[in-house]
Amino acid sequence: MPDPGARAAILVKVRERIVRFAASKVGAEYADDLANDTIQVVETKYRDKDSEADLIPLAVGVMKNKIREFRRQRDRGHAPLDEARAAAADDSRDADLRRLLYDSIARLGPRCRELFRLQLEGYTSPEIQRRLGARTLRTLYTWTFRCTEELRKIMNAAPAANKETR
Amino acid sequence: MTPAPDPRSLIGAYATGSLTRTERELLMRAALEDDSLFALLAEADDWREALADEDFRQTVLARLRATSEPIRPSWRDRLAAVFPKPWLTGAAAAAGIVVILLVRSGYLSESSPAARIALGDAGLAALHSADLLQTPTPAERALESSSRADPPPAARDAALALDRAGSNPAYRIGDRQRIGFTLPERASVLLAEELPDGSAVRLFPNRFQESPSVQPNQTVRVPPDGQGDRQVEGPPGQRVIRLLVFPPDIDPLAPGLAWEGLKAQARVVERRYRVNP
Repeated sequence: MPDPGARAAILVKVRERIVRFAASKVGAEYADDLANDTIQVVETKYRDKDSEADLIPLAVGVMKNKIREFRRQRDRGHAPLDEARAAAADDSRDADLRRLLYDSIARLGPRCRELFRLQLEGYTSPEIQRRLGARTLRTLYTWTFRCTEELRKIMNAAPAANKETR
Repeated sequence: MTPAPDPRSLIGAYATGSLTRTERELLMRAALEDDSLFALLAEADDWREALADEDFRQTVLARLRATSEPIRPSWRDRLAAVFPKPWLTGAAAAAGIVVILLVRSGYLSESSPAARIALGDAGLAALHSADLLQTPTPAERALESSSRADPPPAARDAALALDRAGSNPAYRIGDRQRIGFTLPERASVLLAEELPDGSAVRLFPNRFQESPSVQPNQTVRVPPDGQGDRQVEGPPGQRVIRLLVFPPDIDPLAPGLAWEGLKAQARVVERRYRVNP
């Protein structure tokens, strides 16, 4: 049975994080409303979830959709919503991101490429540690952090149109 | 017990969908309290969504496999994996190095009491060459299972051999094994092993030998010279090693290949062996 008390406490904090994140994406004046909309969706749609591990990824997904809707509305002004055009724009953004991710992963150094390959193949951290020859799991986690940072650096160096978080 | 990782170091695994439940809980709890980590998580969620699409994931994997380079730990790191405790005396470390050299050169079995006492299981694992095995992609699995169900003609001029004699030699779990094959003409090949449960692993190409192309009369050893021996692992039972031979202009790892179109050009050689417990 979900614990309503725990759930409520988590959602309070999730809301705080969303307000700050949304402020950086859509402006402080709209961040509160966006956070409220997001939490409302999470509260009504995911009543059976009460852990951080479940609620936060769900909230992040809903938040991104809300940000996308906000931008769409801002861009079209008073014009009516053209759903087909909006969907096409989303598909185009998805395709751009995949191209960027694909090219960026290919530009990583050999160890980082190997690490991502093993992760994508489904190996566990201890198995990856052994295969890459990391002395400890902590070493592997350090490598993973550096590789993720390298990937972010490569992707952020790309043209602005590809970088927008949806 | 391993200390908890820095939650930031889990972002990459979140994007690739490879977090354990414990790691996921750790990351999410930390992101709940930290704006910058929450922002990193939101960014990585875009990557995660993209990689959750199976077709895209396989496309990225294919690219990574094609450009995979062997990452061999240095001798220092491998010795350190065997001797993690810095307070070991010089004499004990020297004795351990002797054991490692004897095992690597085949004079001492990995399963022998001397090796197990000197190196322990963690040390033996450090010498293991199991990073040779490649999990087939869905397309490869389909090709491999089709070639089993509808086999091509035998490649009578190809030689495929194990390092033990007999039509169905026996190995024990933990034994070392080497496989070799030779073809009289240039070809592209796929070497796979069928396990008792019906699953398959690809032995060649592999992370040390990336290209499926072989030259005429070239003896290809798996693992290649200088990379040690393959260690036979469980489960026990009958194994089949299959060498699929294709014309040199065919890349058997290319996506989208259908067996119906390939069969006429393919040939096969099989060898069997048993794994006892």
